[in-house]
Amino acid sequence: MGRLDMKTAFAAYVKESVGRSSASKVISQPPHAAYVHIPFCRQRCHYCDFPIVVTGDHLEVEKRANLHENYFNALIREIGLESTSGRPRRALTSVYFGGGTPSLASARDISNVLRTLDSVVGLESNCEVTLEMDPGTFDLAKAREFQSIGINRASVGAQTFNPELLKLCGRAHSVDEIYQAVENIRSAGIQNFSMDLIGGLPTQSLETFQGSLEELIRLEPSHLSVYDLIIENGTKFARLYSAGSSPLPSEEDTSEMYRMASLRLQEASYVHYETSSFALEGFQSAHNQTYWRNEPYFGFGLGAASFLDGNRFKRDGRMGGYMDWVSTASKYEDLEMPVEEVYTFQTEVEEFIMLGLRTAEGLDFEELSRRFDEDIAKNVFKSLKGQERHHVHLEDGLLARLTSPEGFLVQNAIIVDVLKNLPF
Amino acid sequence: MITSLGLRRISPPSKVWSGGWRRGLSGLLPSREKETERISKDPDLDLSKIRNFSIIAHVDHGKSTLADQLMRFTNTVDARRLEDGQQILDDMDLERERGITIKMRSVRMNYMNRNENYQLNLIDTPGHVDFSYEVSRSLAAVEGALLVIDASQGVQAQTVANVDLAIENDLEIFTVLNKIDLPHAETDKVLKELEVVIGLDPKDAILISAKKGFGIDKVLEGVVDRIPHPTGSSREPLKALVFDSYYDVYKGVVVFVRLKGGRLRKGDKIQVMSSKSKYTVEEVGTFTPNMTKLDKGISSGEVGYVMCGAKQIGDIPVGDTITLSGEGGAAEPLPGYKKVKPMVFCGIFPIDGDDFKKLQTSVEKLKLNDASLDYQVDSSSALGMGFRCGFLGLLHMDIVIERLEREYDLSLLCTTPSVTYRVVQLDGSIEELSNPSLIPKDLREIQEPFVKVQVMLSPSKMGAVIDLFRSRRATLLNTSHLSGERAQLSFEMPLVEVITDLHDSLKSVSRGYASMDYQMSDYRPQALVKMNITVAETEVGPLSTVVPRSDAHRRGKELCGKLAELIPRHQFKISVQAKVGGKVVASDHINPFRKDVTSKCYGGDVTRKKKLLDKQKKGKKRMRQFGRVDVPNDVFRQIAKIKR
Repeated sequence: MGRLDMKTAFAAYVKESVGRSSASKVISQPPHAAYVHIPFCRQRCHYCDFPIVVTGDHLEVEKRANLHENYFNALIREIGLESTSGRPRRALTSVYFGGGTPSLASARDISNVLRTLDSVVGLESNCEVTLEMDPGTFDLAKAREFQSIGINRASVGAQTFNPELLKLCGRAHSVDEIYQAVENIRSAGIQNFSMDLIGGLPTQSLETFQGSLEELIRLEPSHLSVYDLIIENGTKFARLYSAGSSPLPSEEDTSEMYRMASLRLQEASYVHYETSSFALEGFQSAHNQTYWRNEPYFGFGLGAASFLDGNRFKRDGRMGGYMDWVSTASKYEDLEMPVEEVYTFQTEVEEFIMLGLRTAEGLDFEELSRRFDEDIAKNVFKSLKGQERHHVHLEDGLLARLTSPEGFLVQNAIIVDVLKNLPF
Repeated sequence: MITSLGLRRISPPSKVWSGGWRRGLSGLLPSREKETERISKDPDLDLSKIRNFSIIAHVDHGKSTLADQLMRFTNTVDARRLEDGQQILDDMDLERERGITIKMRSVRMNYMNRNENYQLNLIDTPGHVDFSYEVSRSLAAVEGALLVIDASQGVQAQTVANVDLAIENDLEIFTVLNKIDLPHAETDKVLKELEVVIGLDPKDAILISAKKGFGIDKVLEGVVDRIPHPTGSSREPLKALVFDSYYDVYKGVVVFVRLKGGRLRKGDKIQVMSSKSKYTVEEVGTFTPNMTKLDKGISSGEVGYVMCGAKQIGDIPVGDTITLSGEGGAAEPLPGYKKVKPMVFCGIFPIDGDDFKKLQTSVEKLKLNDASLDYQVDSSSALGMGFRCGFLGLLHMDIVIERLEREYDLSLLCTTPSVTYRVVQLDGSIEELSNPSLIPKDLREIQEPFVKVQVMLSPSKMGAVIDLFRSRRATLLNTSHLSGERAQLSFEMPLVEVITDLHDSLKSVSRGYASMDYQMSDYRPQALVKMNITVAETEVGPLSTVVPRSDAHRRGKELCGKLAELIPRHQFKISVQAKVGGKVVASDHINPFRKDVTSKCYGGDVTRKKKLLDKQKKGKKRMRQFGRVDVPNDVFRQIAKIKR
């Protein structure tokens, strides 16, 4: 084909693809996962920019109780409104209570939320119900309560086992409390639990990171999240440190931390199943996989994000705003969820690729063909084939996945290369 | 100090018109106001009452300010029009910012001297070396020139070059020493220099301050007393020298002419002598400074404008002769016409490929008003569709690119400037190529254009300047000490060495105390090789250059090093190599980056993450892809600017 022919053909193709502005059917299928935000925290960690409400350890018991009561009322009202949405139903396979510090809430409040979800949407019998439980916020009795109301998975925010670093991060707990929390969770019968580990903290050395990593492995959680510190605007860290300069560790060191975690954890029989997630076989987070498969999900509560009918909507992160938003609605339709950006074919393709390449499953070209079209699949294949062999693993031309740890380490660049070559 | 020099203060109008008067003229159209009264006072073609003159000067020596003052003093412009003028000038920021005159114009002034009414035609000249042909043509249109010299800066290379042009054209030159009121003016020293360097009698110099309005009357008297009046007769066949032109959106091409014989009136059938193309005169007039129609036309000795329906200014080129078509036309054109050939070339590509059409229309529009701009479509697999453009010099190139970006709102990628090489093929045939990437691998010889360069400088900087020029393959031809603190050097060197920031380097080694000028001389065979650059094993055509064989390693190393610095790190190691005839002469590499941020990505993070990647994608899409490597557009401009 001559230059001009190529151009014409390409233009026609682009037109056709762009003309397909509607997203695939997957986007509008009934959601089967719900995220519930519980915003209360004893204090704000220095790296945190989440929508939270600091209750403080000194807040009067009564005041705190009021805060909790008002919030849970609003939350349950919001979930209740979903019953008038007219959306087709599918029982939930996962519920995730994130925060904030959900373990600060009472088991009764959490239970009310679960019961409401069950009556409005329905919970599958083996639904994965995760609660973030921070060290120092619960005892064995409370852990048992949580277990008894249906919490079958916990996520323990340990972050580091180094006392100085815990303090520097503004964490409200001690190293001992981490061990205590793990013991309580186990004793309460919650065997499936995840732990968090942050790399790249200020002053953190390879040695201290390794120390924390080994401690984690010793505690044998079924699941682990290992990720980099990001200096978010507006946080205390943002005022103290600037990305890329001391006392933040060098790019060399942080990449070594990631590499070390990946190799060491795989050695300890964890599967590196997503960029920042590791699990013993069979303990991959069902909830998070909904995100990475680019499937719809509910979101409830302060600042929570939902993905419904192709609308990624983030609720108000200020308590007053959220309360007003919920209280002025008497049916689902009244809840204003402005569409920031129309979810097009292009958005879906791009997000699908971006999220898919985060996982060890990677991209299935047949699925790309099925969900989108063959040209998209071919295009993505070609882009990935051009990448370094040690970054991208292509299986029989059917699957492409980034390698662990080398491919995951440079995933943004690889994803951008793929997105760049798409005909949009 | 001023009184001691015997100057008296003239009372100028209260408003000062700030520079660039010739632009104001085009802005003052159409002729809403008939200037009939002033025209009727014209001397009835008594040639002894006409003076045609130019002002020649180095950049910033005050040419435009003097021109403004002459117009004010002769009441050619009044205060009210000055105000208009200032508004009109506002959109000419490019010319003013650079402090140079891009296009020249002429203006007619009426001047009463000893109860005699004189018609003074001031023809402006562009102030830069790139436009020296246009300068020479406007000097051919006059009988005399005012040489304006800044009393604080003295004689500069460009002053000398312009004086040479004036002498070639047999002009009467007299010196105007400007800015004598400045505290650091060195009047006596500069007058001495004038005598030594140019051979003009310092006693004849007129001392002024154009800015303050001192000495303007003396200048006008000088014009009348010292510059010869034109000769020739309106009974001779028409010979009109084209010395300038511009394109006006409403009126079409407006041509400036100096009649050296015959008459020119509305309705005349005329012919352009070089191309034999024919037109009918639609309007003849003069600028006073309003565009003013002259029903009786203009006659031999006079200066004016002609409109005849030409579509672009290249149709009636500067330097050409207009005569009557058919019977009564001149047999021979006026001497000195030549087709201006571009000397500097570069590729211009839109950063956004969709902008090609816009670039094309914009270049075409510029061409309407810039006959010396040369362009043809160029396409490259990496850079897409664009133009290979030819310019008179580096400044001309900068101006065109800046106008395209500023006035036409384009984002452009420009390749390293090149000259035209003569490539002698194996079969002995000669091909002229101005794009190094097109030079074939097998050839017998490469010839390159040489220039003669004059440098004026303080003798204390001589060593450094000679070293600089030697490093640029220059041969020193001549050294002359002019005065105690002034010397002149002349060199011979390849043009390509001049167009790669020589001027800036000269300024820097001489701390600003040197000026230079150059003229084309000839083509010479040199031991040159074509050097290709590969990035990750992919050849980057736009970075191909021609270098001396002996210098290939050094230049290759420099280029590779700069590229390694400018190309962002990728997820893989990138090798950068300079190759001559397939052999690597220098190399460098770009280490891969270690990692992206491996943050969590849960439900609430998707949008943020996607936005981040979108931003990166957009950034990469604006880059040029060579194989797997994304090269930022700015790299080409940075490489073009490489300091040596």
